[in-house]
Amino acid sequence: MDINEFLDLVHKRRSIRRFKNEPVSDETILQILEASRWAMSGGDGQPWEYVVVKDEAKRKQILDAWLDPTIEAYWIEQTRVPELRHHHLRTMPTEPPFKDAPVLIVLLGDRRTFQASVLGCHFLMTEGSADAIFQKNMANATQNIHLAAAAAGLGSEWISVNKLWARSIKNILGIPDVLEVHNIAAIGYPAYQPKPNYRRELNEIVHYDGYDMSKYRTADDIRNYILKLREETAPPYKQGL
Amino acid sequence: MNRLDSFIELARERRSTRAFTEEPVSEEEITNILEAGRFSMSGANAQPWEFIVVRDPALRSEIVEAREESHLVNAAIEQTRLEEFRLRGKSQATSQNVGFKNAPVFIVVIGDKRTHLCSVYSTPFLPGDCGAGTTYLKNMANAAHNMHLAAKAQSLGSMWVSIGKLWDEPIRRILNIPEIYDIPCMVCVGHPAEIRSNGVRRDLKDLVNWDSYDMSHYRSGKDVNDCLMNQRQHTRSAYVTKP
Repeated sequence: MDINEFLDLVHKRRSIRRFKNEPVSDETILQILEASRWAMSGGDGQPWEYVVVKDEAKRKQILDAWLDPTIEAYWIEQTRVPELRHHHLRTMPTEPPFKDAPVLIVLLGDRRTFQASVLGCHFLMTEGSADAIFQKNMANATQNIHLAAAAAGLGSEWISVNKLWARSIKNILGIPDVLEVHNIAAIGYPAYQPKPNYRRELNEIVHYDGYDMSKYRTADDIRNYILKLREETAPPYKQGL
Repeated sequence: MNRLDSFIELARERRSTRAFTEEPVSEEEITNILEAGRFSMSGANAQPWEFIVVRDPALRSEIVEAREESHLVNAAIEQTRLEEFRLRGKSQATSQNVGFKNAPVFIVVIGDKRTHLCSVYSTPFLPGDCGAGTTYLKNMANAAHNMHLAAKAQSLGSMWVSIGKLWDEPIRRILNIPEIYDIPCMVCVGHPAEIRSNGVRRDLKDLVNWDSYDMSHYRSGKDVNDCLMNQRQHTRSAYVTKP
């Protein structure tokens, strides 16, 4: 894949929240995971494993288990000023946005693979710390899934999993304690055509040979930025729901 | 080749490059890399990333030299492991000889945690793998990973260089990075001066479970050690391959 094709892929990938009732072949799923398997990881630790959930009963159990943890999140969200609340938690949740997805890929992480990284990362805690490296490795494997899904003409959504939901998912799928549930990639054929995505301009976020203070954002700038993001995200979000 | 196969090929063929030629990287190539970083995924589209492109040779040297203390501390800690488990590059407690020092471009990836206001507010209170800090870190990783893929898509070599605690402060000073930012990593880019052997990954069938976890895939502590040992052996030979 050359750079123009890659940039086109990166530009066109969008989070999709409504899916057609059309199955995804096992071959395509395996190809998507093949792209994920080749993601980067510190010391080549490869902490990732996957549970592909297509079985309707199992998917329903996972969807049902989503509700209570999300209601917990809803009540916490209500303490914010209304305009800064996340779109997804402005009304009492009833069912997951990704409920139609025919495939849920549950990403599991194995912290024992930390051993692959330089040992010092456990003792010199910062962004280069062991946990941070682990999180970043898992992200790398996840993003490749979403890019590969987009390359296959599929839609996908990255669903983070909090610890309340993770416990239920572990029970439903029989996941051993040593593995962590990181996130779910919901995959299927998109039921709508998403609008182009919003990103800050390159000249706002790039500095040359040192930080350019003219680009520094104050606390007010950040608040206005979040408000702008909420506005930008609202139409595609509503489109998907 | 269809788009999916073509993307798999890109992901599979990207390798960390640890030796670079002096050939410069064009403005356009750099912009393409940054563009791929800009369009990465982030929770609620928070986009915490900014990039400092460092091409000035004096600044790059300063950054490399400032790593010495961090390197020595890490190398000393690494000596406490059995030799066959030590990470190469950290296996000797001598002065650093880092492969990325000749890369003509360092892209320092900095993150603004204030943008995390964008995510759902519950992440600090209902932790797990979507805790506030972890979502931010994953967003930053997404930007870095896309940049590595964009480098490979232009036949450039790249290396992911994590910034540890002892190296953070000098980099911040050299590049005048305000305290509000984190500095998770650098993406070092240039033309590769080495040919790397193929990467090694666990087989897909060992990683994939269908509809529930397959206990035959479960790894004991010894299995994890054996896997690590295999990787170390492979990585060592990959390190020494030169054109």
